[in-house]
Formats: sequence, C-alpha cells, structure tokens
Amino acid sequence: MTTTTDMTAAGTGTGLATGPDTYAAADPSTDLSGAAPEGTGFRWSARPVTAADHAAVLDLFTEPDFYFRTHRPDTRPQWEVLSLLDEDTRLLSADGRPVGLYALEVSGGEHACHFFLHLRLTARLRPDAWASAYRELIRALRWQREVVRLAVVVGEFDDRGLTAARLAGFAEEGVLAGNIVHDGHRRGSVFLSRIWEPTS
Amino acid sequence: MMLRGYRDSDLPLLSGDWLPGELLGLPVPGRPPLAEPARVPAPRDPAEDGATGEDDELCVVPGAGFVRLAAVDWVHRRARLEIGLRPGAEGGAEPLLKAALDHAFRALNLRRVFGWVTPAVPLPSGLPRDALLRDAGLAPEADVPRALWLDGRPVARQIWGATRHG
Repeated sequence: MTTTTDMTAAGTGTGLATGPDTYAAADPSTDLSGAAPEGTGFRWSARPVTAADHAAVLDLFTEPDFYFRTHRPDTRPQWEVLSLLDEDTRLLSADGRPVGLYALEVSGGEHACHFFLHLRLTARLRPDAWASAYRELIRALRWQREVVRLAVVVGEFDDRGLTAARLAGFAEEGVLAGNIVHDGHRRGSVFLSRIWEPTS
Repeated sequence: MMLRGYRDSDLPLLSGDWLPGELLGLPVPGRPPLAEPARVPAPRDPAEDGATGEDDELCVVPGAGFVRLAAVDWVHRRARLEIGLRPGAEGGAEPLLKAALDHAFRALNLRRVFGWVTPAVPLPSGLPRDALLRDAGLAPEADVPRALWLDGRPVARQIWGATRHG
C-alpha cells in the first residue's frame, strides 16, 4: 500500500538503542498492566521484503506465536511462509535490525479510509515496543492519508498481541467466536480498532 | 518434541532407508546399500502445478526426521501419517510419534489419522513397535495381505489408526 520508511520514534525514550539488552525479552508481567510509555527509543524503519530478507523472515516464523497471517507460524513450510508476503508487506526494523512484519489492507471502498492492519513483532520485543511500533505506523499513515478506521484482528489466545494492541489504544469491538482451533480448543478472533471522525 | 516448518535446507531429511509410506519409518535392518531410498516430496505450493485436492502437511525435527500428514482431507478431517527418522535418531521415535498426533489433532483439528505398518520388518535396536504405537493412542484396524514387495516376496501390511472427537 505505502512505503513507509525511517519512522523515527517520538517520545521520551532513550534514543538509539546501543546494545542487545534493548532486545532482551522482559518479564511480561512487568509490561502488561502498566500504562503505555510514550516511546521505547527505537528508531523504526520499514521497507518492502526482498529475496535478500527471506532468511530473516523465515527466522521470524520459527517463533510459535509469530501470528502474521497464520495461526500456525512455526510449522508452516517455506513456500507457505513466503506466500504470506505480498507487495504490500513491509519488513519492520528497529535500529536497523529486522524485528517484524506488517501489511495494510483496504477494508471496504477505496474512498472510505478503512483499513485492516496485520502487524507482528518478534517475541524478543516487549509489548511496549509493539505499542510504539503501532503508534509510529499510525502516525505515518495519518500523515500521508486520511484514516477513519484502522482495525486489527487478534486471536483470543494471543496474549502478547492483545496486550500490544490495547497498549496502542485499540478498542475491542467484538469477538468472532470459535473460528480457530488452537491447542485443541476452538477459540475466537478479537476485532479491535481505532477510529477517527471522517472529514467528509 | 518441537516440530518446525520445512525449509529448503531440510531436503536431506526427506529421503532415507525406511519403507515407503511407513507410519513409523525407521532404517530397515539388512537393507541392501544400493536399494533406492524412500522419498517424500518437499512441500510446495499446490497451485504451482495445478494440482487440486491434495494438501500435505510436512514438518521436520531439524537433523532428526520429518512428520508428514499426507493427503489431508479438510472435509472429512483425516490424513495418512508417515514419519521418517534418520539413522541414530531412533530414540526420538516415541516423542516424535506423540508430537505428530498432537499436531494432527490439536493444531489441525483432524478427526482421524492412520498409517501403514509392516510387521515383517523389525524395528532397529529391538524397539517394541506395537507398544510404541499403542502408547501413542493408535490401534490396529486392518490387515492387508500382500501389500508390499519386500526382500524378494510380497509381505502383509497393517493399517493402524487413531481417532479423536468421538
């Protein structure tokens, strides 16, 4: 949809991350209940996925909860992983290191300014970093186009995804019950969105 | 035991000295070294060659072997299971069998999984095949006479299966 590059994170973070500690998985219990920080200090950038990025992308899909357009990421074969990427898919990097994928899809009429967003970050990043990525992406989108509704769909079982979306201000709209079998049980898909008043 | 999606670099895992289509494929004792190895196809996009209706689910345990649910039928929710283990990885047979059935039932939500078993061929290292299969939840369902040419004669095979959701 759009090529969004070099989205420098705003906020009160520490600027450029300099060490691997920034990427270390934190205890989620310290991240789930607090208020969203204004920023994580990452310098976000994004680019279309090329063949040279496939190794990094395949590595992301070895994570059991890298739910980017699939509910079973770590058992998908190579061809299927690569088939999930399209011309609108962007490789998201934090401080130049690939950390995730996102893709934007139009929902409804082209003129309606409604979008679905698929965004997934590595489990190495904390939920507040996810929220920072969401906010930066939204800032970039709204800078270059009108956005009335931006929706994400997250599995009920996806605690990290739900936490990140809520931290980024997405509000729950409803649950499509039982459309995914996860770990032997039927679970639903949670629809969340952020909505802005249309200008026309 | 963690299953992982297939990568092109896993290709050597897809051929080996087990019997073709065997549910629990382990190296066959006494196999002539020049006998052609068994092979399973690498996963690929079914749209590439226009094939329809065939959906295989193949996962690997890096360096050890593969699990293949062949011809997954999403309407009737059944598939044929075959496993291939590299020499030296026989110790992983029990956890891999359980991981395969867990994947079939809990991730893919299948109702029935079945596979071919060849009683005439003992498992290497004296592994107790029937006990392994039964412990994993499989049961013998049928005897199929003269189902496979092996070692200069036709031998019988059995179908073993497991069901879920009643």
